[in-house]
Amino acid sequence: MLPGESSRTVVPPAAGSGGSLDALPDCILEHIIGFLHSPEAVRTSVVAHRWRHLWRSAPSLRVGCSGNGARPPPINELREFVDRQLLLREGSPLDTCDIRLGEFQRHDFPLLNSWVQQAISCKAKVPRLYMRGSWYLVLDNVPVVSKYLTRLELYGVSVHTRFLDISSCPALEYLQEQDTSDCLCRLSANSCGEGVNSCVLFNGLSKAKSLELICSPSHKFFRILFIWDLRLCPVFSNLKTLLLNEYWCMPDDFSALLRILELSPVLEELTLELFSEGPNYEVEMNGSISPVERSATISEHLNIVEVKCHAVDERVHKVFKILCTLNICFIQFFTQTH
Amino acid sequence: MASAGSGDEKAAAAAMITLISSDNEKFEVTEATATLSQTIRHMIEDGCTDGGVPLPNVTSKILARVIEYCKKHATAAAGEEGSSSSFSDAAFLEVDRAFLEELEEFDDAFLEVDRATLFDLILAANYLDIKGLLNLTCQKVADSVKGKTPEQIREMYNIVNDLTPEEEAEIRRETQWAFE
Repeated sequence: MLPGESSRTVVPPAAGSGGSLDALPDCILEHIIGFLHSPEAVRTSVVAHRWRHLWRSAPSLRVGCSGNGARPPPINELREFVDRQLLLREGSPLDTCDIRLGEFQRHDFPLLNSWVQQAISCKAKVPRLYMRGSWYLVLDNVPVVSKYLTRLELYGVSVHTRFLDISSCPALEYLQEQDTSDCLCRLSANSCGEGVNSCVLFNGLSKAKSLELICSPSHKFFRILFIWDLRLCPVFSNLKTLLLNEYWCMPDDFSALLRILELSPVLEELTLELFSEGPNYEVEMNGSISPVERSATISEHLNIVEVKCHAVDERVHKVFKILCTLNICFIQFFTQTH
Repeated sequence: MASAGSGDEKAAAAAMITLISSDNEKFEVTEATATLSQTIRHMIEDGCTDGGVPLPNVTSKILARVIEYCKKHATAAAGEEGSSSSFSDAAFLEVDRAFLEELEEFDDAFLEVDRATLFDLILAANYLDIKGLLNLTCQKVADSVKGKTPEQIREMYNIVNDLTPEEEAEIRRETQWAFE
Protein backbone atom coordinates (compact mmCIF):
# COMPACT_ATOMS: atom_id res chain seq x y z
CA MET A 1 0.00 0.00 0.00
CA LEU A 2 1.07 3.51 -0.61
CA PRO A 3 0.16 5.58 2.40
CA GLY A 4 0.63 8.63 0.22
CA GLU A 5 -2.32 7.69 -1.90
CA SER A 6 -5.08 9.68 -0.39
CA SER A 7 -7.71 7.32 -1.71
CA ARG A 8 -6.31 4.70 0.62
CA THR A 9 -5.69 6.93 3.58
CA VAL A 10 -8.38 6.13 6.05
CA VAL A 11 -9.53 8.50 8.74
CA PRO A 12 -9.31 6.51 11.96
CA PRO A 13 -12.48 6.01 13.92
CA ALA A 14 -12.79 8.61 16.67
CA ALA A 15 -12.99 5.87 19.25
CA GLY A 16 -9.69 4.38 18.12
CA SER A 17 -9.11 0.73 17.42
CA GLY A 18 -10.32 -0.50 20.78
CA GLY A 19 -7.45 -2.94 20.61
CA SER A 20 -9.15 -5.01 17.93
CA LEU A 21 -7.37 -6.07 14.77
CA ASP A 22 -10.79 -6.10 13.14
CA ALA A 23 -11.05 -2.36 13.64
CA LEU A 24 -8.19 -1.78 11.23
CA PRO A 25 -9.18 -1.01 7.65
CA ASP A 26 -8.45 -3.46 4.85
CA CYS A 27 -5.57 -1.42 3.46
CA ILE A 28 -3.74 -1.73 6.77
CA LEU A 29 -4.36 -5.46 7.07
CA GLU A 30 -3.04 -5.79 3.53
CA HIS A 31 0.02 -3.81 4.52
CA ILE A 32 0.59 -6.12 7.49
CA ILE A 33 0.14 -9.22 5.33
CA GLY A 34 2.69 -7.74 2.95
CA PHE A 35 5.32 -8.19 5.64
CA LEU A 36 4.66 -11.90 5.81
CA HIS A 37 6.68 -14.16 3.65
CA SER A 38 4.79 -16.26 1.21
CA PRO A 39 3.13 -18.70 1.60
CA GLU A 40 2.18 -17.48 5.06
CA ALA A 41 0.60 -14.44 3.50
CA VAL A 42 -1.70 -16.59 1.38
CA ARG A 43 -2.64 -18.80 4.31
CA THR A 44 -4.24 -15.83 6.05
CA SER A 45 -7.08 -16.31 3.58
CA VAL A 46 -8.76 -18.76 5.95
CA VAL A 47 -8.58 -16.61 9.09
CA ALA A 48 -12.05 -15.19 8.47
CA HIS A 49 -14.35 -14.13 5.70
CA ARG A 50 -12.92 -10.67 5.54
CA TRP A 51 -9.39 -12.02 5.17
CA ARG A 52 -10.14 -14.23 2.24
CA HIS A 53 -8.82 -11.96 -0.51
CA LEU A 54 -6.65 -9.54 1.43
CA TRP A 55 -3.37 -11.20 0.43
CA ARG A 56 -4.12 -10.58 -3.23
CA SER A 57 -3.83 -6.86 -2.69
CA ALA A 58 -0.91 -6.92 -0.27
CA PRO A 59 1.58 -4.31 -1.45
CA SER A 60 4.56 -6.61 -1.06
CA LEU A 61 5.34 -10.01 -2.39
CA ARG A 62 8.16 -11.86 -0.69
CA VAL A 63 9.01 -15.25 -2.02
CA GLY A 64 11.81 -17.51 -0.94
CA CYS A 65 13.10 -15.08 1.64
CA SER A 66 12.29 -16.76 4.89
CA GLY A 67 15.11 -14.84 6.49
CA ASN A 68 17.35 -16.58 9.03
CA GLY A 69 20.03 -16.78 6.35
CA ALA A 70 18.70 -20.00 4.86
CA ARG A 71 19.47 -20.72 1.23
CA PRO A 72 16.53 -19.82 -0.94
CA PRO A 73 14.53 -22.82 -2.13
CA PRO A 74 15.03 -24.25 -5.61
CA ILE A 75 12.65 -23.21 -8.31
CA ASN A 76 10.92 -26.60 -8.24
CA GLU A 77 9.44 -25.74 -4.87
CA LEU A 78 8.37 -22.28 -5.95
CA ARG A 79 7.28 -22.62 -9.53
CA GLU A 80 3.59 -23.20 -9.02
CA PHE A 81 3.52 -20.97 -6.04
CA VAL A 82 4.93 -17.81 -7.62
CA ASP A 83 3.04 -18.42 -10.80
CA ARG A 84 -0.31 -18.64 -9.08
CA GLN A 85 0.40 -15.85 -6.73
CA LEU A 86 1.32 -13.42 -9.47
CA LEU A 87 -1.63 -14.57 -11.54
CA LEU A 88 -4.19 -14.36 -8.75
CA ARG A 89 -3.15 -10.84 -7.84
CA GLU A 90 -4.77 -9.86 -11.12
CA GLY A 91 -2.37 -7.00 -11.52
CA SER A 92 -3.06 -5.32 -8.19
CA PRO A 93 -0.22 -2.87 -7.57
CA LEU A 94 2.94 -4.06 -5.93
CA ASP A 95 5.29 -1.80 -4.05
CA THR A 96 7.91 -4.37 -3.39
CA CYS A 97 8.51 -7.66 -5.08
CA ASP A 98 11.26 -9.76 -3.61
CA ILE A 99 11.85 -13.11 -5.28
CA ARG A 100 14.74 -15.25 -4.13
CA LEU A 101 15.55 -18.45 -5.86
CA GLY A 102 17.96 -21.24 -5.33
CA GLU A 103 18.68 -23.80 -7.99
CA PHE A 104 17.15 -23.39 -11.41
CA GLN A 105 17.84 -24.67 -14.88
CA ARG A 106 18.15 -23.21 -18.30
CA HIS A 107 14.68 -24.31 -19.27
CA ASP A 108 13.31 -22.17 -16.45
CA PHE A 109 14.43 -18.97 -18.15
CA PRO A 110 11.16 -18.24 -19.95
CA LEU A 111 9.21 -18.68 -16.74
CA LEU A 112 11.57 -16.48 -14.75
CA ASN A 113 11.42 -13.87 -17.43
CA SER A 114 7.66 -13.87 -17.29
CA TRP A 115 7.82 -13.33 -13.52
CA VAL A 116 10.02 -10.32 -13.98
CA GLN A 117 7.70 -8.86 -16.56
CA GLN A 118 4.65 -9.59 -14.42
CA ALA A 119 6.21 -7.99 -11.37
CA ILE A 120 7.01 -4.92 -13.40
CA SER A 121 3.54 -4.84 -14.90
CA CYS A 122 2.14 -4.86 -11.35
CA LYS A 123 3.70 -1.40 -11.15
CA ALA A 124 6.33 -2.68 -8.78
CA LYS A 125 8.50 0.13 -7.58
CA VAL A 126 11.10 -2.07 -6.04
CA PRO A 127 11.50 -5.43 -7.71
CA ARG A 128 14.32 -7.44 -6.33
CA LEU A 129 15.42 -10.57 -8.02
CA TYR A 130 17.87 -12.69 -6.20
CA MET A 131 19.09 -15.82 -7.92
CA ARG A 132 21.39 -18.36 -6.47
CA GLY A 133 21.82 -21.05 -9.00
CA SER A 134 24.49 -22.61 -11.07
CA TRP A 135 23.19 -20.56 -13.95
CA TYR A 136 22.91 -16.91 -14.44
CA LEU A 137 19.39 -16.15 -15.37
CA VAL A 138 19.40 -14.70 -18.82
CA LEU A 139 16.85 -11.96 -19.02
CA ASP A 140 15.13 -11.51 -22.31
CA ASN A 141 16.21 -8.61 -24.36
CA VAL A 142 12.93 -6.89 -23.66
CA PRO A 143 13.11 -3.29 -22.55
CA VAL A 144 12.05 -2.72 -18.97
CA VAL A 145 9.17 -0.32 -19.30
CA SER A 146 7.71 1.14 -16.16
CA LYS A 147 6.98 4.61 -14.99
CA TYR A 148 6.77 3.34 -11.43
CA LEU A 149 10.06 1.53 -11.09
CA THR A 150 12.30 3.42 -8.67
CA ARG A 151 14.77 0.79 -7.69
CA LEU A 152 15.92 -2.28 -9.49
CA GLU A 153 18.09 -4.87 -7.88
CA LEU A 154 19.33 -7.90 -9.72
CA TYR A 155 21.50 -10.56 -8.25
CA GLY A 156 22.85 -13.46 -10.24
CA VAL A 157 21.16 -12.23 -13.34
CA SER A 158 22.52 -11.81 -16.78
CA VAL A 159 20.98 -9.96 -19.61
CA HIS A 160 20.63 -11.23 -23.10
CA THR A 161 23.07 -9.39 -25.34
CA ARG A 162 24.45 -8.00 -22.13
CA PHE A 163 22.29 -4.95 -22.15
CA LEU A 164 19.36 -4.13 -20.02
CA ASP A 165 17.31 -1.41 -21.58
CA ILE A 166 15.97 0.80 -18.84
CA SER A 167 15.35 3.83 -20.98
CA SER A 168 11.64 3.71 -20.32
CA CYS A 169 11.87 3.94 -16.54
CA PRO A 170 11.80 7.66 -15.83
CA ALA A 171 11.37 7.15 -12.09
CA LEU A 172 14.34 4.88 -11.70
CA GLU A 173 16.65 6.26 -9.05
CA TYR A 174 18.68 3.30 -8.11
CA LEU A 175 20.08 0.34 -9.92
CA GLN A 176 22.11 -2.37 -8.37
CA GLU A 177 23.49 -5.43 -9.97
CA GLN A 178 25.54 -7.78 -7.96
CA ASP A 179 27.05 -11.01 -8.91
CA THR A 180 25.73 -10.47 -12.35
CA SER A 181 27.60 -11.83 -15.27
CA ASP A 182 28.73 -9.01 -17.50
CA CYS A 183 25.48 -7.25 -17.01
CA LEU A 184 25.27 -3.60 -17.74
CA CYS A 185 22.42 -1.28 -18.02
CA ARG A 186 21.83 0.32 -21.27
CA LEU A 187 19.74 2.84 -22.92
CA SER A 188 19.24 1.80 -26.43
CA ALA A 189 19.71 4.52 -28.94
CA ASN A 190 16.48 4.00 -30.81
CA SER A 191 14.30 4.26 -27.73
CA CYS A 192 15.69 7.62 -26.79
CA GLY A 193 12.53 9.26 -27.91
CA GLU A 194 13.76 12.30 -29.67
CA GLY A 195 16.50 10.51 -31.43
CA VAL A 196 18.75 13.51 -31.05
CA ASN A 197 20.72 12.23 -28.15
CA SER A 198 22.52 9.11 -29.08
CA CYS A 199 23.71 8.53 -25.58
CA VAL A 200 23.70 4.81 -25.18
CA LEU A 201 24.41 3.93 -21.63
CA PHE A 202 23.92 6.76 -19.27
CA ASN A 203 20.71 8.41 -20.26
CA GLY A 204 18.64 6.09 -18.15
CA LEU A 205 20.77 6.97 -15.18
CA SER A 206 20.90 10.70 -15.60
CA LYS A 207 18.27 11.25 -12.91
CA ALA A 208 19.98 8.96 -10.43
CA LYS A 209 20.78 10.36 -7.02
CA SER A 210 23.35 7.76 -6.43
CA LEU A 211 25.46 5.63 -8.68
CA GLU A 212 27.75 2.74 -8.17
CA LEU A 213 29.81 2.06 -11.26
CA ILE A 214 31.99 -0.94 -10.81
CA CYS A 215 33.36 -2.88 -13.68
CA SER A 216 36.18 -5.30 -14.13
CA PRO A 217 38.93 -5.04 -16.73
CA SER A 218 37.25 -7.78 -18.72
CA HIS A 219 34.65 -5.22 -19.64
CA LYS A 220 37.06 -3.38 -21.86
CA PHE A 221 34.55 -3.18 -24.60
CA PHE A 222 32.10 -1.47 -22.32
CA ARG A 223 34.67 0.96 -21.11
CA ILE A 224 35.22 2.14 -24.61
CA LEU A 225 31.49 2.43 -25.04
CA PHE A 226 31.14 4.27 -21.77
CA ILE A 227 33.81 6.75 -22.63
CA TRP A 228 32.39 7.29 -26.03
CA ASP A 229 29.04 7.67 -24.40
CA LEU A 230 30.21 10.15 -21.83
CA ARG A 231 30.93 12.66 -24.53
CA LEU A 232 27.26 12.86 -25.33
CA CYS A 233 25.99 12.11 -21.90
CA PRO A 234 23.47 14.38 -20.28
CA VAL A 235 24.32 15.91 -16.94
CA PHE A 236 23.73 13.77 -13.85
CA SER A 237 21.57 16.51 -12.43
CA ASN A 238 20.60 14.74 -9.19
CA LEU A 239 23.68 12.74 -8.50
CA LYS A 240 24.88 13.23 -4.95
CA THR A 241 26.86 10.14 -4.16
CA LEU A 242 29.10 8.27 -6.53
CA LEU A 243 31.24 5.21 -6.19
CA LEU A 244 33.76 4.35 -8.86
CA ASN A 245 36.41 1.70 -9.01
CA GLU A 246 39.78 1.70 -10.71
CA TYR A 247 38.11 0.88 -13.96
CA TRP A 248 37.43 4.60 -14.32
CA CYS A 249 40.95 5.60 -13.43
CA MET A 250 42.97 3.43 -15.72
CA PRO A 251 46.64 4.27 -15.54
CA ASP A 252 47.37 7.34 -17.56
CA ASP A 253 43.83 7.75 -18.72
CA PHE A 254 41.65 9.69 -16.37
CA SER A 255 39.41 11.16 -19.01
CA ALA A 256 36.43 9.11 -17.86
CA LEU A 257 36.85 10.12 -14.23
CA LEU A 258 37.25 13.77 -15.09
CA ARG A 259 34.31 13.69 -17.45
CA ILE A 260 32.02 12.09 -14.89
CA LEU A 261 32.99 14.68 -12.30
CA GLU A 262 32.37 17.43 -14.79
CA LEU A 263 28.92 16.04 -15.49
CA SER A 264 27.94 15.88 -11.80
CA PRO A 265 27.27 19.45 -10.72
CA VAL A 266 25.63 18.61 -7.38
CA LEU A 267 27.86 15.73 -6.34
CA GLU A 268 28.50 15.68 -2.61
CA GLU A 269 30.33 12.49 -2.02
CA LEU A 270 32.83 10.65 -4.17
CA THR A 271 34.31 7.31 -3.24
CA LEU A 272 37.05 5.65 -5.23
CA GLU A 273 37.54 1.98 -4.60
CA LEU A 274 40.91 1.26 -6.16
CA PHE A 275 42.26 -2.20 -6.92
CA SER A 276 40.52 -3.56 -3.90
CA GLU A 277 37.09 -4.87 -3.11
CA GLY A 278 35.36 -4.11 0.14
CA PRO A 279 34.02 -4.27 2.63
CA ASN A 280 37.38 -4.29 4.37
CA TYR A 281 40.13 -2.11 3.00
CA GLU A 282 43.70 -1.83 4.16
CA VAL A 283 43.77 1.85 3.47
CA GLU A 284 40.97 4.38 3.68
CA MET A 285 41.70 8.03 3.22
CA ASN A 286 39.77 11.23 3.02
CA GLY A 287 40.95 13.95 0.73
CA SER A 288 40.73 17.58 1.61
CA ILE A 289 39.20 19.92 -0.87
CA SER A 290 40.66 23.35 -1.06
CA PRO A 291 37.76 25.74 -0.51
CA VAL A 292 39.61 28.62 -2.08
CA GLU A 293 41.12 27.06 -5.12
CA ARG A 294 38.30 24.71 -5.85
CA SER A 295 38.45 23.58 -9.41
CA ALA A 296 35.64 24.97 -11.52
CA THR A 297 35.13 21.61 -13.15
CA ILE A 298 33.96 19.85 -10.01
CA SER A 299 30.76 20.20 -8.06
CA GLU A 300 30.82 23.02 -5.55
CA HIS A 301 28.90 20.75 -3.18
CA LEU A 302 31.54 18.08 -3.15
CA ASN A 303 32.65 17.73 0.43
CA ILE A 304 33.72 14.13 0.83
CA VAL A 305 36.28 12.41 -1.34
CA GLU A 306 37.31 9.05 -0.10
CA VAL A 307 39.85 6.64 -1.47
CA LYS A 308 39.78 3.01 -0.42
CA CYS A 309 42.49 0.67 -1.50
CA HIS A 310 44.67 -2.22 -0.58
CA ALA A 311 47.90 -0.31 -0.59
CA VAL A 312 49.07 3.06 -1.74
CA ASP A 313 51.10 1.94 -4.70
CA GLU A 314 52.13 3.72 -7.83
CA ARG A 315 48.73 3.26 -9.43
CA VAL A 316 46.95 4.85 -6.51
CA HIS A 317 49.58 7.54 -6.41
CA LYS A 318 48.66 8.48 -9.97
CA VAL A 319 45.04 8.85 -8.97
CA PHE A 320 46.07 11.15 -6.14
CA LYS A 321 48.03 13.21 -8.59
CA ILE A 322 45.12 13.68 -10.89
CA LEU A 323 42.84 14.55 -7.98
CA CYS A 324 45.44 17.05 -6.88
CA THR A 325 45.01 18.91 -10.14
CA LEU A 326 41.40 19.39 -9.04
CA ASN A 327 42.65 20.72 -5.72
CA ILE A 328 41.58 17.59 -3.92
CA CYS A 329 44.58 16.70 -1.86
CA PHE A 330 45.60 13.68 0.10
CA ILE A 331 48.18 15.41 2.22
CA GLN A 332 48.57 12.61 4.71
CA PHE A 333 49.65 10.32 1.99
CA PHE A 334 52.32 12.62 0.72
CA THR A 335 53.72 13.38 4.14
CA GLN A 336 53.66 9.78 5.20
CA THR A 337 55.45 8.25 2.29
CA HIS A 338 57.77 10.95 1.11
CA MET B 1 25.09 14.28 5.15
CA ALA B 2 24.96 15.19 8.79
CA SER B 3 25.71 18.78 8.02
CA ALA B 4 23.01 18.91 5.38
CA GLY B 5 20.57 17.53 7.92
CA SER B 6 21.26 20.09 10.58
CA GLY B 7 21.13 22.78 7.93
CA ASP B 8 17.62 21.75 6.95
CA GLU B 9 16.62 21.69 10.55
CA LYS B 10 17.91 25.16 11.14
CA ALA B 11 16.00 26.46 8.18
CA ALA B 12 12.81 24.86 9.43
CA ALA B 13 13.32 25.80 13.07
CA ALA B 14 11.72 29.16 12.59
CA ALA B 15 8.44 27.65 11.49
CA MET B 16 6.42 25.97 14.22
CA ILE B 17 3.23 24.06 13.63
CA THR B 18 0.50 23.53 16.17
CA LEU B 19 -1.22 20.16 16.17
CA ILE B 20 -4.50 19.81 18.03
CA SER B 21 -5.58 16.42 19.30
CA SER B 22 -9.16 15.16 19.52
CA ASP B 23 -9.26 16.06 23.21
CA ASN B 24 -8.17 19.57 22.33
CA GLU B 25 -4.62 19.40 23.54
CA LYS B 26 -2.18 21.55 21.60
CA PHE B 27 1.25 20.34 20.56
CA GLU B 28 3.82 22.69 19.15
CA VAL B 29 6.31 21.04 16.81
CA THR B 30 8.90 22.18 14.32
CA GLU B 31 8.04 21.99 10.67
CA ALA B 32 10.82 19.42 10.19
CA THR B 33 9.11 17.15 12.72
CA ALA B 34 5.60 17.76 11.40
CA THR B 35 6.50 17.16 7.76
CA LEU B 36 7.41 13.58 8.42
CA SER B 37 3.68 13.31 8.00
CA GLN B 38 2.89 13.61 4.31
CA THR B 39 -0.63 14.66 5.21
CA ILE B 40 0.66 17.62 7.20
CA ARG B 41 3.34 18.35 4.62
CA HIS B 42 0.62 18.80 2.01
CA MET B 43 -1.36 21.02 4.36
CA ILE B 44 1.69 23.21 4.91
CA GLU B 45 2.28 23.39 1.18
CA ASP B 46 -1.33 24.43 0.69
CA GLY B 47 -0.93 27.02 3.42
CA CYS B 48 -3.70 25.70 5.63
CA THR B 49 -1.91 25.28 8.93
CA ASP B 50 -2.55 28.74 10.35
CA GLY B 51 -4.37 28.51 13.63
CA GLY B 52 -3.25 24.94 14.14
CA VAL B 53 -3.98 21.59 12.56
CA PRO B 54 -6.96 19.86 14.14
CA LEU B 55 -6.64 16.08 14.25
CA PRO B 56 -10.08 15.06 15.50
CA ASN B 57 -9.33 11.37 15.28
CA VAL B 58 -6.06 11.27 17.16
CA THR B 59 -6.08 11.42 20.94
CA SER B 60 -3.49 13.41 22.85
CA LYS B 61 -2.04 10.18 24.20
CA ILE B 62 -1.41 8.81 20.72
CA LEU B 63 -0.43 12.14 19.22
CA ALA B 64 2.22 12.60 21.91
CA ARG B 65 3.72 9.22 20.94
CA VAL B 66 3.55 10.02 17.22
CA ILE B 67 5.34 13.32 17.80
CA GLU B 68 7.94 11.54 19.90
CA TYR B 69 8.60 9.25 16.95
CA CYS B 70 8.70 12.08 14.42
CA LYS B 71 11.08 14.18 16.50
CA LYS B 72 13.51 11.33 16.75
CA HIS B 73 13.29 10.44 13.09
CA ALA B 74 13.20 13.97 11.64
CA THR B 75 16.96 14.37 11.86
CA ALA B 76 17.55 10.98 10.34
CA ALA B 77 15.17 11.71 7.48
CA ALA B 78 16.87 14.99 6.71
CA GLY B 79 20.21 13.23 6.62
CA GLU B 80 19.00 10.40 4.45
CA GLU B 81 17.65 12.70 1.79
CA GLY B 82 21.12 13.21 0.38
CA SER B 83 22.14 9.60 0.34
CA SER B 84 18.76 8.03 -0.31
CA SER B 85 19.24 4.32 0.09
CA SER B 86 22.28 4.42 -2.07
CA PHE B 87 25.42 2.44 -2.40
CA SER B 88 26.77 4.72 0.24
CA ASP B 89 24.59 2.87 2.74
CA ALA B 90 27.79 1.22 3.82
CA ALA B 91 29.63 4.46 4.25
CA PHE B 92 26.58 6.04 5.77
CA LEU B 93 26.31 3.21 8.23
CA GLU B 94 29.90 3.57 9.19
CA VAL B 95 29.68 7.26 9.80
CA ASP B 96 26.39 7.19 11.57
CA ARG B 97 26.38 3.71 12.96
CA ALA B 98 26.06 4.93 16.51
CA PHE B 99 23.16 7.13 15.59
CA LEU B 100 21.41 4.38 13.68
CA GLU B 101 21.87 1.98 16.53
CA GLU B 102 20.38 4.51 18.84
CA LEU B 103 17.49 4.94 16.43
CA GLU B 104 16.92 1.22 16.35
CA GLU B 105 16.94 1.05 20.13
CA PHE B 106 14.48 3.90 20.18
CA ASP B 107 12.20 2.06 17.74
CA ASP B 108 12.36 -1.12 19.80
CA ALA B 109 11.52 0.73 22.98
CA PHE B 110 8.85 2.70 21.15
CA LEU B 111 7.06 -0.52 20.21
CA GLU B 112 6.84 -1.66 23.83
CA VAL B 113 3.19 -0.73 24.05
CA ASP B 114 -0.05 -2.58 24.63
CA ARG B 115 -2.04 -3.82 21.69
CA ALA B 116 -4.64 -1.07 21.72
CA THR B 117 -1.93 1.61 21.64
CA LEU B 118 -0.13 -0.21 18.83
CA PHE B 119 -3.27 -0.34 16.72
CA ASP B 120 -4.08 3.28 17.45
CA LEU B 121 -0.55 4.21 16.40
CA ILE B 122 -1.09 2.29 13.16
CA LEU B 123 -4.32 4.16 12.49
CA ALA B 124 -2.68 7.49 13.23
CA ALA B 125 0.38 6.68 11.11
CA ASN B 126 -1.88 5.71 8.24
CA TYR B 127 -4.06 8.79 8.59
CA LEU B 128 -1.10 11.13 8.94
CA ASP B 129 0.76 9.21 6.25
CA ILE B 130 4.00 8.65 8.13
CA LYS B 131 5.52 5.82 6.15
CA GLY B 132 8.28 4.90 8.57
CA LEU B 133 5.95 4.69 11.55
CA LEU B 134 3.37 2.74 9.58
CA ASN B 135 5.96 0.23 8.45
CA LEU B 136 7.43 -0.07 11.93
CA THR B 137 4.09 -0.72 13.60
CA CYS B 138 2.69 -2.98 10.88
CA GLN B 139 5.89 -5.00 10.87
CA LYS B 140 5.42 -5.51 14.61
CA VAL B 141 1.96 -6.96 14.06
CA ALA B 142 3.23 -9.09 11.17
CA ASP B 143 6.01 -10.43 13.37
CA SER B 144 3.45 -11.42 15.97
CA VAL B 145 1.58 -13.64 13.51
CA LYS B 146 4.66 -15.03 11.79
CA GLY B 147 4.78 -18.80 11.99
CA LYS B 148 1.25 -18.97 13.39
CA THR B 149 -1.54 -21.08 11.94
CA PRO B 150 -4.80 -19.37 10.95
CA GLU B 151 -6.37 -20.84 14.11
CA GLN B 152 -3.64 -19.35 16.24
CA ILE B 153 -4.03 -15.95 14.57
CA ARG B 154 -7.76 -15.99 15.30
CA GLU B 155 -7.15 -16.92 18.88
CA MET B 156 -4.43 -14.35 19.36
CA TYR B 157 -6.50 -11.46 18.07
CA ASN B 158 -9.98 -12.63 19.04
CA ILE B 159 -11.07 -12.88 15.46
CA VAL B 160 -14.35 -14.70 15.00
CA ASN B 161 -14.18 -17.37 12.36
CA ASP B 162 -17.23 -16.57 10.29
CA LEU B 163 -16.37 -19.08 7.59
CA THR B 164 -18.48 -22.18 7.41
CA PRO B 165 -16.50 -25.41 7.31
CA GLU B 166 -17.52 -25.70 3.66
CA GLU B 167 -16.25 -22.24 2.83
CA GLU B 168 -12.99 -22.85 4.63
CA ALA B 169 -12.52 -26.11 2.75
CA GLU B 170 -13.23 -24.31 -0.50
CA ILE B 171 -10.65 -21.59 0.16
CA ARG B 172 -8.10 -24.19 1.16
CA ARG B 173 -8.77 -25.99 -2.09
CA GLU B 174 -8.40 -22.76 -4.05
CA THR B 175 -5.08 -22.00 -2.45
CA GLN B 176 -3.95 -25.52 -1.85
CA TRP B 177 -0.52 -24.67 -3.23
CA ALA B 178 0.04 -22.40 -0.25
CA PHE B 179 -0.92 -25.03 2.31
CA GLU B 180 1.27 -27.84 1.08
